[in-house]
Amino acid sequence: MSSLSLLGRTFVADSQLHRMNSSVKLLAAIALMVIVLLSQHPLILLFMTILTLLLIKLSKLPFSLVLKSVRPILFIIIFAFIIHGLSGQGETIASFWIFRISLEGIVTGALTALRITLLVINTSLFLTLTTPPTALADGVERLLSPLRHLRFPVNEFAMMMSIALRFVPTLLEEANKLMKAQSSRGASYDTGGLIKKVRGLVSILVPLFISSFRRAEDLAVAMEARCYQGEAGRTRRSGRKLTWREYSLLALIVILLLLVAVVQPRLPQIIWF
Amino acid sequence: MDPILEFDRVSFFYDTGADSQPTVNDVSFSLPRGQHLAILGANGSGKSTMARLMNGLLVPDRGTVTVADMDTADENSIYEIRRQCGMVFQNPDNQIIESTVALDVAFGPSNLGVELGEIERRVDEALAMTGLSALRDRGPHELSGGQKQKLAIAGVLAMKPSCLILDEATSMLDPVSRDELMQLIIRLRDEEGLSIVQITHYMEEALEADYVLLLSEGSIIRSGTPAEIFSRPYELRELKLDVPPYIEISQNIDRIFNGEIEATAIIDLNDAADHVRQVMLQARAENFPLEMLRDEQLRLEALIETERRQPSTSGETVIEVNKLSFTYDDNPLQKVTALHNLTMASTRGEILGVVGATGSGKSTFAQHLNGLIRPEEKGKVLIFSQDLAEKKNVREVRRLVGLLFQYPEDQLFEETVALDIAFGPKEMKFSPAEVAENVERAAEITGVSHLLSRSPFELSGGEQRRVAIAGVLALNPEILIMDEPSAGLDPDGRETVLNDLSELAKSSKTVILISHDLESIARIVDRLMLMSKGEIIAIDTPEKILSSEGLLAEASLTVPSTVKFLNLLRSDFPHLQSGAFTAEEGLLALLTAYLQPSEEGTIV
Repeated sequence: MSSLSLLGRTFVADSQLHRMNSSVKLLAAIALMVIVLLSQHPLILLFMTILTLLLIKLSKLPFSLVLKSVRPILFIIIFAFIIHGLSGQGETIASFWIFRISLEGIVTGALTALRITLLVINTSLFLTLTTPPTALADGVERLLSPLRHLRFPVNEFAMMMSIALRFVPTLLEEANKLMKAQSSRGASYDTGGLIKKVRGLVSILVPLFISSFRRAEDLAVAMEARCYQGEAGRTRRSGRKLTWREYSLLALIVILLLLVAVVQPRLPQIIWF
Repeated sequence: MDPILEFDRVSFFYDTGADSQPTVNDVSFSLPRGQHLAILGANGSGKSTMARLMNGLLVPDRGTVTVADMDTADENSIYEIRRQCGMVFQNPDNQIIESTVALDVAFGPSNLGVELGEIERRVDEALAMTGLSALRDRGPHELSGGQKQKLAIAGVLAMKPSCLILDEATSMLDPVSRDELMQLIIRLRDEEGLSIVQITHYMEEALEADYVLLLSEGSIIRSGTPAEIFSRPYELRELKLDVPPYIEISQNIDRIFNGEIEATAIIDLNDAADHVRQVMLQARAENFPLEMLRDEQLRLEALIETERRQPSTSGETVIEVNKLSFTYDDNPLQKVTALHNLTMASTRGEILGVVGATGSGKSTFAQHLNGLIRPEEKGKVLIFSQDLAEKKNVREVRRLVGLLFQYPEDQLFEETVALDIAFGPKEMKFSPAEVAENVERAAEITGVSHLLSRSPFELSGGEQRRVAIAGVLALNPEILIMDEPSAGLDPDGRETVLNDLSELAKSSKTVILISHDLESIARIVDRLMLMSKGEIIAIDTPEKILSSEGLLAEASLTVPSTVKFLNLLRSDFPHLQSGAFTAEEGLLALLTAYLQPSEEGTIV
């Protein structure tokens, strides 16, 4: 539960990253995702690692906190490493049963694990950790605003998204409380067979659903009472003006794209494979 | 000047069938601008429906509701009506829409199309008025319940309303936050000239109003100033509402010494104390016949004796906590020390009250008692001598210690009450015969036997809470721990639940009640454990703890009004006992103090 508690939570600090326009951050997050996935060469990955560390420094958030965002998918990272490590390409250095461990496999595995880690850290750094849900929804709204011409309810969609994000911590807290409450009446969620586990989940999910419906109803009434009438007549929040901050980030993204697309193929192979 | 709000013969039906009962039945009243109206009624009396009729969330089936000369049935003025009549709801969590304080305040004016610069000015102003300026960038989950409700008020203020409607807005708050919110509301009324409509079942809040409506089954059955309404306590009790004990004490003093009750009650605590002092001192000066007082004293003693709980502790220690400390560290940005070096013990059959302000460590302490949180390094928790540091003991201790969190009805999930109560025993692998027997017994203790085949979701709040308690009792625990047993219930539901718990202790179970509301549990507990900032600052009988206002202040707790009232009279009646909670107990304490021989020896 404790690793989940970081999910969707924004940590307020006064940093360049926090102050940045949310649409640009969204774009940057998507671009970085692509760049990291395209980074194959160890030198490029090294460069990306250093860059990520610098970005963490720039966010003024404690290193340990940012690192924690990796925890929910730690399993996937380890799995990827093992799969690659046992894939058996190249020269075998050890083997047992049907598995052959090779140096090449280990290196590829480590690089893949690094890539996934960088991917997750960069995304959460730009999105959840430094961008409050409302700003994120604003960013989405601005990026999607061309769709308005196709009669897509962009504002309503953004409002839905912002409310969903706003309730993530509330619902996690509630799920946690329910789990404790049902445990106190003898339910155990970590032992027993599949059927028992599913039954256990029912005792948490049913009350959680019921309370979510109640919350949704209450919230709808509260919104109505405060004159919500959809997009019509609503004051639009102006996004942050683009400043040197956003332009330098965009410039960085362009440079990185060039780096992986143009420079990377021309780099000399420094590993034997 | 025109009234801000007017109901003219309003009726409303949720169910439109031919023979259906109206939820609001032929209600008429009018609220002048700047006035404060309180609407009182038990759960199910139609209070919340009234609130929703006031700003066009619901439209009456008969009659008209007018807000500042606009008919709420008129679609064209609906947003202007909602702007003028802002509303704050009961559940603090379910009315915050945006993800930060400042953005949420801006929600209302943004919907109204107010231009950005003006919105910013209004947000600053509303936050300053509600004292939230320092929290403007916080997220909702970082706020306390009281702060969330203040935020809801700020969100209304930013729409520049003329009327503020509060629909049980304080009922989920602790007493300190409740007081703070009440002060804010009174300030807005007096300084900003806002009209206030307050729907509540807290009588202390109704005392602040200019005018009170008593609602029962959708109809107004009485209306008047608080002084008029509270002059007939029996009438309020019949409606399942309670009366501040000091008002009743003061009326009874009138009845005993002057032989009559005034048509208007004295509703201010200080005035009531002055009045009682004056009447009793005059009676002493005039040598009031003592026989009558002795009769009254005997009558009250007999009455209280039947109600008072006899402690049935056996001396067997069932809970032992030694040097327990605990720190929350899941958020690396802020580690919270929740418990610091706690040592205590409890015996079989005791009712122990654990009281402290929000954040004093009460819940963390409770979760240690059934192994939901395991003790850190040096700390020891022994339940029936089983050490919770050892993992193998946890399961058995879970059965021995039943733990109910705040609003336990939220955990109900089965199709029928019987199935829900049976969930625990089944999980604990009781035999089918045992399960059936335990369900039956638990339902009997909590008085829900007649509901066993119903769905838990169609019951009233009080009934749901009793079903949740039965669900834990079905494990046949020796110790029952309950967090905020009476939170959110109306006076009637509160009494039933507290009586059940009191009965349980008689059958030599240990009951631990946790609350931030001293008044709600002090009456039935044997001992109180006072917590502040993760430490125990006192553990003693309620009488001893309540007599020290200093101790309560240290724990940031409000002093119950009866205690405050009697403390005011102690200078003239030095023998006055503390530790009275109900009107009867307070009256008895006063009479007894009066009958004590004084220094001058006026009483033989």
